[in-house]
Amino acid sequence: MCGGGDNKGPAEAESRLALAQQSAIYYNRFQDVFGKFEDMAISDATSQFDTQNYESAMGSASNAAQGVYEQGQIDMNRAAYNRGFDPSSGAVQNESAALMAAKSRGMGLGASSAGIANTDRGFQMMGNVVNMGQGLANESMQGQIDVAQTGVDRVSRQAQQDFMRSSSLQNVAGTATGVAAGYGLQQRTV
Amino acid sequence: MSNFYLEMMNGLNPESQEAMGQFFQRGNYPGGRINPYAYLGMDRKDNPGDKLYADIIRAQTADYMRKFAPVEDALAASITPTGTTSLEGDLTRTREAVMGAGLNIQGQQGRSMERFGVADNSGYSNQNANISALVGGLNDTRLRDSDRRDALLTGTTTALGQKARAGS
Repeated sequence: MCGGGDNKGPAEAESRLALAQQSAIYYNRFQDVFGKFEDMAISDATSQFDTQNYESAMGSASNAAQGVYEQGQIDMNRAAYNRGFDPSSGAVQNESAALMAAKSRGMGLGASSAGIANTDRGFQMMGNVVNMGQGLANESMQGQIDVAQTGVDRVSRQAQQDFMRSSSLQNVAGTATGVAAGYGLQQRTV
Repeated sequence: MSNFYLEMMNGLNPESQEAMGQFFQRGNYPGGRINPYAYLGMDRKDNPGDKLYADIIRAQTADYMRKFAPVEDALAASITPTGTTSLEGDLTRTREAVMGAGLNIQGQQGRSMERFGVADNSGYSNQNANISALVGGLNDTRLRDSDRRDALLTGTTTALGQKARAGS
């Protein structure tokens, strides 16, 4: 290569370092302010599947169902007394048994549903964490693309310089700047 | 990073700035932080901005790998051909909840009848009702687990795959 001198290539724009510093400061601030919240979200998502969370959710659902059916039982017993029904009669026993079976179903399936909902919630929380992480990954990927593009820009500039320095290439290719610009444009559209 | 550091660095000649930058470590600080002034004073032909950008990308990637990649792995590993790995636990809890409620109610019914001085003859019918509720509960549990699998496949993991493809 002719021309000699500095082989480091063109100087980077001063603003590029300033922008990178700004990004670094933002990143540090993000870690300081929101990093702990990310950790909390991840911890919450993974502990959602702990036994005590299931017990709490299922116990509450079972109690709620029991409370709903108990009022029905009280009403039925009161009506039976008021009408003078014999508690040992088939009518009262059947009614009571049916209500008890419904209560059992309500409590059992209510608790089961609450347990499944707890599992769903755990998966949903994990999904949210994944989405959070993907945001970060996207930023990182975008950064990589930026860096790759910067590399392309630098190669283009270097090529432009090389073309301009080389008189033999100028003679072969005609207008050196035109070739260099074409090279640069091609690279940018990749 | 304090302004004091920046002011101090700005007060130095370029060679000293570079030496100070090296002393305070180029790139990442301990604790996942980045030193924004690590390349201050470096010859612009050595691309200090690019180097700092590269540090940021490395820090972001390390943060992502440390925090989020394990959750993604766990989520992906939870998907089975028919549902999720949580199915067995959910089925067990459904079984315990329905049968436990059945026993609980059977006891309540017995005590209630005893208060009236009559025998509780509802055991057989309650048992049938329990089995019926159990079958319904187990079927519902399987269906909901299958739905959960579909949601994972078409939601989080698909979005993840699309983003990965778009980024590559």
